[in-house]
Amino acid sequence: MVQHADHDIPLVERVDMSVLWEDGEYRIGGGGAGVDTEFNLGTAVDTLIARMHHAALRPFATHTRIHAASGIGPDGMVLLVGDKRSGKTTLAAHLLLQGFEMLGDELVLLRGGQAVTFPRRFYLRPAALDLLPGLGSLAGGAPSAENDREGRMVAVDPPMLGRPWRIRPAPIAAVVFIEPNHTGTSRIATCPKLEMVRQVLAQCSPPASAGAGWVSDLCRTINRCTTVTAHLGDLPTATEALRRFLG
Amino acid sequence: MSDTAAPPPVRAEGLDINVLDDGFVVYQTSHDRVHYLNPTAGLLLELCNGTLGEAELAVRVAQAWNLPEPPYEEVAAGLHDLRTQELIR
Repeated sequence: MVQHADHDIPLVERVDMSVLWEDGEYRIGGGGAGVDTEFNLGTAVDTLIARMHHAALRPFATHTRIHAASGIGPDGMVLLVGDKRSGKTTLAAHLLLQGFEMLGDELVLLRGGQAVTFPRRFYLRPAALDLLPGLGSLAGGAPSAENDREGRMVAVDPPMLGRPWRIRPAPIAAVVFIEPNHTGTSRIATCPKLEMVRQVLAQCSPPASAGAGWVSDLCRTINRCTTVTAHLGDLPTATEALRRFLG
Repeated sequence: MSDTAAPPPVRAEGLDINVLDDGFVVYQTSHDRVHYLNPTAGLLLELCNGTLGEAELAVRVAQAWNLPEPPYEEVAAGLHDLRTQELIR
């Protein structure tokens, strides 16, 4: 559960949570919510994680949530946006192995043009591991989560690969929309701003506080950054193309 | 053209209009709906301030795009689309 990321963000709140085993059930409390009751360990852990997630996001109620992988380039943050199974996590992990500073594969929070990655390990599906031989034996010993739909997903983070994992706010310098081309060769093309806004909005949740202006914030951010579409096939070609585009 | 019959079109209230390099994104807060407009449609929407009739709008569009003639038919069609999307009334 613990994320081994360094943070350049001040502590804003300390939250206590508890899990008690009483009378044959798990009672999960704290974090500003009532008590949840679960009857097996797996669902108790899921409930606890959801509660932690909710508490961690509470201070970011005025931020737009973007479902995206993210990393830091020379000019600022780079987002990888795409539908489920488009290859975001696989590409992010490959970029990490190739020396890019990648920060996450799931969630980025945006406000006022500044973005911050929500730290969470990169969850790799079994098929992705076959494409990432650079992980080597690491995948075998890494933490994992399993469900009926995805199978066993391996959780890796930058420190496990000897890379930094420093969470800090940064302006968004580039957005990459991933279009799957999984049986072909990768290629990169400039993406019109209007199209990029459409694609990113499809992966956004408005601020929990429903503050006005979040669409404008997103539009301004995308309009001033580099926007490309990655037709994602083989990973080495994609990586080299992104390196040329993004530095 | 129907300038004499129809009142000058005016933008709907509560529109969050965002100008991009290649178009406009309009967030309609009352409907929680996002519209994506090409540059001409976006310009037309911005011009709909309730004082310009259809013919005047066509003249303004021609000026903006350096067109030899006002695009009356295209503006009429564009206004129809904007009305259909409830972006003007």
